[in-house]
Amino acid sequence: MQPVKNRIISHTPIRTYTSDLEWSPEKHGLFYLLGLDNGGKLGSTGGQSNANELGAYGCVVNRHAGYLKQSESKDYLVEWFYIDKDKIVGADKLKNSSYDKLVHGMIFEHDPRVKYFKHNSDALAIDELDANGDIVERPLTHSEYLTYLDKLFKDSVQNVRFPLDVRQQKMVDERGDFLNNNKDADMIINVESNHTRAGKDKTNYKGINADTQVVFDFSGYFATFQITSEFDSNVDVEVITRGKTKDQILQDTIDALRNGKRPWLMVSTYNDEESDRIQLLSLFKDANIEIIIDEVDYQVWKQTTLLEGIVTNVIS
Amino acid sequence: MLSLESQLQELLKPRTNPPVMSVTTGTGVDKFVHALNTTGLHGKYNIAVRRQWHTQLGTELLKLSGEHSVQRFLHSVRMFANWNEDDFAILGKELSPNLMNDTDKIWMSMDRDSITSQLDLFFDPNSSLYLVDVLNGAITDVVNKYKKEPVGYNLQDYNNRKRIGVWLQVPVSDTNTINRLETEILRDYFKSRGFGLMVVHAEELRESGFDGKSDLNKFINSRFDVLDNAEIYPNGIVAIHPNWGYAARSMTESRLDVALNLRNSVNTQDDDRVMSNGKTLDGKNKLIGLKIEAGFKRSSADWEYRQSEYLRQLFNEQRNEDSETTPLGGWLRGVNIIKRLPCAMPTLVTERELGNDITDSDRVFRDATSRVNLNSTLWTMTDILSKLHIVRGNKKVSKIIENIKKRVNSGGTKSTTPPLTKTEEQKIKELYVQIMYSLIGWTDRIKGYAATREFTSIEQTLESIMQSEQLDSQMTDTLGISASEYIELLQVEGGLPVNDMDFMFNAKIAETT
Repeated sequence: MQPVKNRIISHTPIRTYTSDLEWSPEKHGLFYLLGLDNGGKLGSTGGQSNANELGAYGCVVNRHAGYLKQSESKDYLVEWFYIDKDKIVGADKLKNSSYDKLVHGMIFEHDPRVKYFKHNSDALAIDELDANGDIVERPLTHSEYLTYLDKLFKDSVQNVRFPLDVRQQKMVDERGDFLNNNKDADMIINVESNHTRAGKDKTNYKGINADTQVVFDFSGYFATFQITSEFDSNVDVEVITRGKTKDQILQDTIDALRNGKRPWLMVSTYNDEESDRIQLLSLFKDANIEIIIDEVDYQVWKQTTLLEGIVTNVIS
Repeated sequence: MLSLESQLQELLKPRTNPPVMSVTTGTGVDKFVHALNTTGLHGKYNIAVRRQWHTQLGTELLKLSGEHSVQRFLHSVRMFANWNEDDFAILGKELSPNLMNDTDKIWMSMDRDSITSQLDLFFDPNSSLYLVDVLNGAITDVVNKYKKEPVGYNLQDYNNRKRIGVWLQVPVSDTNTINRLETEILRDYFKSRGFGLMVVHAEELRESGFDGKSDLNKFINSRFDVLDNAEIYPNGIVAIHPNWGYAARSMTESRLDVALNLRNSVNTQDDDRVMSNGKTLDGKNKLIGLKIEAGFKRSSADWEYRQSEYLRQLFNEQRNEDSETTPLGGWLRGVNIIKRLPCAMPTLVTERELGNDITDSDRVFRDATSRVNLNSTLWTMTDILSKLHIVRGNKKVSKIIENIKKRVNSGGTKSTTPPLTKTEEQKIKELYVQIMYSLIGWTDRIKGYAATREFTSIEQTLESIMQSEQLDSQMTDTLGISASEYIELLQVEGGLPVNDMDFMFNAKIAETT
């Protein structure tokens, strides 16, 4: 690794997880691993824009060979990586080109003992048992970090999904049949009671009609939208609504539709029928739209006015 | 530049299907359907509603038939652990008589001897309720029970478990108290028994660098990975948590084998934590999720009643799925209940025993009328109860109800409500029996109506009656209250014995068909 301070980084070796030797911003995600030269802060990483600032592109294609800006006081060690974007889970949804969080997320998923370090939220740490059987936390070592990257990206990562079982398939078929037999209805409501671990997300996802252009998922009042793990990224796009204005939500929805995708508006705040999230439904009165509500036994769904709000806003 | 709304409209294709709303949940759909029915939307719009049920037992039967795609599901096995002073004596322990019948009190006492004595029943290898033995016993029983089924279980794939995961449900709701219990008693206790301990609550998640509730699953997975050390913890891992709102969060940790409930009350969603299939702590395949009910107040609900209530609930679900089913059809025979005889290993209840429990109508009625909950908010619903035609001409009814209302605990911990006197308690119990006679008796009048429409619960039938002004007014004339008022009574948590009432209703419907 090369110290950042002096910016002599153009000969820093790149660790690659791709079959292409040539750097391609369209194909590759790039990030770096920083560490203090005494090894005390190993595990910190940065995103694409910082990588650019530090001259990572320069070290790849030597565009910034003459870069002279001085660094801050500390000497850091830097190591560069570039990885095929399609190996990074969620990279297709990324807008600010900062891949570190996604890569960290994959490491956390791969080994749940790893997490952000309590004393330095940039660094990664691992929980372990000491000789006494108590849980203690220590920073991840450099070689452990690289081992995780090797494991995740050299062997690639596959999200294993079970196909529908016979019950789930039956449920999906029944939804389809019920819709076809009630085309003249003003609205279709499927009410399904299921047991623990029966795969509601899978049924809810596969049960969406092929003609449906936009999906509203109102399960977020308490839930965490686990349905997104079922998504086919070629077809579906999650549109997060939490903390966004109506215009931002519309813009994201428009972007998704323009890209030929099916937007899923993940709605978390809808205390009553006056909620602007509920009012949004009225913009889709003439389109094929589906609504999903998981865990309807929560108190909020006992409000008749909320149900009225949804139904009257969605029926054309 | 077009406005965002206009840009959106340009991208949307014309509507060719009615809008579809799919609502999914566990068992709580009735309340949603009731809310939907009371909106009046049905009269205004043409709304097509489809209702569908899938139960744990339905899936288990499919699995037993050998259906490949459902093999990842586990058998849900419920066990009712009826422990007494003899169990303590075997272990050389003694428990104060006033704690013996009230597990909540044991934990609230914060008394080391009492708490560890109770835990010893399940974590001391010398106890006949030692969890590792109980789990192996349950697995063996289940494999034997289904040995003639096409699925063809092989005992050695599942049996001889050595290290297990336990979801321990205790009646402590306060995080600080849980933390104190952990540091002062539990960590050392479980270590001495060869079990690693994890504490699960919001504060613990945050302190360990996780994001809170949304990271619950990651946290549990992480803790299991960290504690999974066969040398330090040779017998497994125990997870303990306060009795609080995380109960409804989804979790997929397969290394939990046994849910041990030491609370007086039951939280079904919480003990379902053990139903994820996948890797186990000792590398064996997982066959069952074992749920042990071992905490109860014998004065209000004993082991036998819990079992009966559970069976009747299953029977009602069975009727929902197939109204033609016989009381002990193949579907209900799939139920796995382990019962424990004193001083012996637990064993599966037989079909004959199941049959006795669900075919004895007198017993059901006795159960329904004899277990009055004096603290239920049911008693605050004076407006409805006083209208009920209980005993014609008895003017004291509303007065008694008013008295109860004044003394019912509204749920706060600092209630200064004076307790009921013995005489008042007796009066209320008598009144309760009259209320039950009235409510259950009236279902005789609607059994034919329900049978022709294939309804299987009182609430479902009442919802239908609500739609007809004529029927609703006939009902009000006869019973004194309307369909929606009856539904309000049914929906009070811990109020009326809905399972028992529905069970009797189904029995009456079966007689008419």
